[in-house]
Amino acid sequence: MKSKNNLNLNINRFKTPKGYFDKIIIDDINKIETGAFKVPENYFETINTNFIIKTNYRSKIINFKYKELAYSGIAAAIVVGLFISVFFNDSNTLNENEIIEYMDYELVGYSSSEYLELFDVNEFEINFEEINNNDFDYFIETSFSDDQNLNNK
Amino acid sequence: MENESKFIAKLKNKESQNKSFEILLSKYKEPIYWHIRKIVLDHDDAHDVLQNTFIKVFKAINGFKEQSKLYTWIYRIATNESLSFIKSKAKKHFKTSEEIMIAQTNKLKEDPYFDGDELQIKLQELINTLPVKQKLVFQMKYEQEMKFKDISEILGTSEGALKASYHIAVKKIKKEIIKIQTF
Repeated sequence: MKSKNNLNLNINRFKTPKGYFDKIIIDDINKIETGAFKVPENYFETINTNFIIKTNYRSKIINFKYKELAYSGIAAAIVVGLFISVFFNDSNTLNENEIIEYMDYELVGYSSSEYLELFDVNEFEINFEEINNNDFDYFIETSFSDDQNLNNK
Repeated sequence: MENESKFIAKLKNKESQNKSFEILLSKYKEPIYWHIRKIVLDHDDAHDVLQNTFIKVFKAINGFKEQSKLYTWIYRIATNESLSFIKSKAKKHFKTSEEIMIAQTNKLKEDPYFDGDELQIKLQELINTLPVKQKLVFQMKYEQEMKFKDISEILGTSEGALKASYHIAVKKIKKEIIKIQTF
């Protein structure tokens, strides 16, 4: 058990399978904490360029629980087809621009309540100059939405 | 690794691409795997996300403008990919991402690739109660000891806001740990 910041958190709670990292050389990532999590034996040895470049995505095999569904006619097949296209679409078909656009999109935004916590200056001091314009814009935007919702009610 | 710009040029060059990608993969597969695993929790899920991450890195490397470090760029993809995976899983099961993560944490007791006791599972539950950004910054700072500057590049958030988020996250977890230890 490691103590840091007065927390008795075991950062080694994650484990890996035996020998998983044996053949890996990492020269500038100083610290990898696995915690209590583990991985299957020799797992990382299976991760090579073939795994990424040639294999692409693993085939998604859909096991229907009820086989009779497969025989329920063309209409059902269309419905199932639509379902698969929506829920199991293969993002491997993305082109380069789509991927870059996807990466530029910020998936992790602050919620209004998180901003309220951030701006609770009685708890600790924040250097407001370090909070960038995008964060302020997001805060203002979400606050406005909340006000609108309240007014609409 | 050689000068990063030279290495990136090799990654973009079709003739040297495969060999360079092999080096990149050998260097980053483990830290990226663990970064993903701490987010999705399950090994099989982490495996899928790791694969998707490196496919995206491979496909998008020509568009990498070097406005950030290669390492933070890859982490950013891995983070987005992990969060997208959870959202997608939630959608498939008609649940929220939070419900999916609660269910995933509950499975840890039976997970052969998790070696934590009751307290470790409880701590994982506490981490899961944090809002996404606090959770990410907590994991990257506390568990992976990354620099705020790098976390800032990965999450696209100012360092000041991240420091505040980290402070709040530690405080919340500390408060809950004290409660657990008291009872």
